[in-house]
Amino acid sequence: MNHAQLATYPAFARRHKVHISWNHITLYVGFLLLTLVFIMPVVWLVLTSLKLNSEYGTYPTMLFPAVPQWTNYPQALIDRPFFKLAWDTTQIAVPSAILTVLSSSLAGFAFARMNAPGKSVLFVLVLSMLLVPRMVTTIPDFMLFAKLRLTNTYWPWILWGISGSSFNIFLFRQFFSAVPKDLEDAAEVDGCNRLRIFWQIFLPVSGPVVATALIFHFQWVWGDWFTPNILLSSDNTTLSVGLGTLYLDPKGNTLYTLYMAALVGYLLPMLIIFLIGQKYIVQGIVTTGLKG
Amino acid sequence: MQDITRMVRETWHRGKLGTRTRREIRDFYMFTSPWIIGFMLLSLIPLIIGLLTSFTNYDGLNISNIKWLALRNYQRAFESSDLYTSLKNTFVYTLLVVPVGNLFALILANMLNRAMIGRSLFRAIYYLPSILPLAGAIQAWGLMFNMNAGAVNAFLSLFVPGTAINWINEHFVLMLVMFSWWQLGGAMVIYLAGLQGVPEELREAATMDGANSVQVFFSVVLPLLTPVIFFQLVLGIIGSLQILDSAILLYGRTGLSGTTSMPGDLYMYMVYVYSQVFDFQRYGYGVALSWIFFVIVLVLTIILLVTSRYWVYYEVSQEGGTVK
Repeated sequence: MNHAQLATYPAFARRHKVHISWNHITLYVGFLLLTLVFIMPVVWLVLTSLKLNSEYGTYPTMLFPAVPQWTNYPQALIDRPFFKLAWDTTQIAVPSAILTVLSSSLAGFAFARMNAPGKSVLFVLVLSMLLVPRMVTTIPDFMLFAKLRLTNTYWPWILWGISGSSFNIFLFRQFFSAVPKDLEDAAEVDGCNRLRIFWQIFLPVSGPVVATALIFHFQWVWGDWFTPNILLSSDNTTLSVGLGTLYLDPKGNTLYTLYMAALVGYLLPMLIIFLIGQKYIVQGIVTTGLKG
Repeated sequence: MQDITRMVRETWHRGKLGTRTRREIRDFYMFTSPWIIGFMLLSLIPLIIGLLTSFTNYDGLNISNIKWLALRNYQRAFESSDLYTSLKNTFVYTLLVVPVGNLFALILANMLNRAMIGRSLFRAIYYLPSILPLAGAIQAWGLMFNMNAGAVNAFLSLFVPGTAINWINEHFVLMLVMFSWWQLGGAMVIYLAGLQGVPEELREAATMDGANSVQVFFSVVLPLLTPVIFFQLVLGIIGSLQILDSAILLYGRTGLSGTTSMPGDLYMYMVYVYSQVFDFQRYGYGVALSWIFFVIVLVLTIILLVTSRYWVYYEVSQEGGTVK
């Protein structure tokens, strides 16, 4: 391997001296402008959350608050039941994420590693459920849950969790298909049954996929407005629905800046989870071969 | 279907199954049973209940008052102008979101795939908006474009003093389109993963043959990416056509129940369905609307699948022949 080839390898390319030209400068200016566009909504949200309510929507628009109102945050998060709603949301999101990943990985493992009559029909069913619009099943599901008196409980999320998701079954099936056969054979010789092979070999090697699926499902429940809005009443609902009615003064006017502070509190946990899990997520996307 | 019947016949006619095979079949159905049971109870039976409901005047309360309307709900749906308005809005939205958004994402991924200082920082920043929980992200977006308190009008006022564009009311679909462009980081990361799967030798070989970087992209990289693009297009179209939460939340709603206050000419298709079912309790009619939509999605997907033969490049055929 000569030096020119070495330089194209990522580990070496970093040490390779970057030649600075006008092209590079325009490129960086472009990237920086884009950065500004991408982060602006969040920056603006934070700036607004630090204003007085009387500074909201004045003309001309104030970029910065005259005095940053840090007390907006305790007022929005502690004086009102923000954390109660956050805890309720967590109680829905965490079990449902764990259940859906467990159920989907079990099914994905079966589709990737076992043979049985009916397998291909079932797999076609898994894939075709990706094409069914959410509303087509959700309205009858809602009617069903209402009949069973399961509205206003967290059971619907548990039941949806147990039944897994087509997308995750597909991801796990793709990932498990690529695991070398030797690993399984060795375990089988040692007398392991399939559940142990799955639990002790396949699930551990799919760490990044599990983490990715867990995080994405948690994020989905955390950000979902439609489902809790139709299934839960206002006293046990999730943050995504509850926040909309929490920040009103006695006359019914919205306390905008407190609401914005609460929104920052709503977005922040997700940002932290993603910053921690970023490495796994990228790995998870690469290794599942999302390219189909 | 054929191979199943053949498999069943072969295994059963052989008289006895080996214990190994029998155990494998048992294990297969044990492992897939949570999904199978869930699929039956929460997808298959609801699909049938829904289809039956769509032929009735069910209002969500009184089973006793239920009346069989045959196809009248469907007939009424096609006579309602809201159906066409909402379909038009939804198609305009999807057309701007999916092809254009994917093009942006692909360009961005390609630019961030080269070796450069700060690459991972830029990647992370462009990715961040797409991971924000939807219900909060759309509120942040709405605040940016708020008529009085938004940064966009404040910025435009620097050039044209007194700019007070009511973005959300006057350019509603565009706001939703741009919101989805803001979140294109998710697609970008998937394209980046795809780009990393393009063998370096292929690029090098093409460069040695005298291809410039544009030619390398169009004749080496792009063909290898077509499976990823196809996957993104199918899921993107299905997802975008179903836009609901962000439309309702961006426009705002009235009362604790979350009744949609949107005028009919701003309806997205799913908002129309939502308001019929949950604001007006027209379950039968709403489910009929959702089935019309289902058929539209199916037709579009079949068109995509059929045309994919001509432009999607598969290097190796998938094992088992089950994945299309």
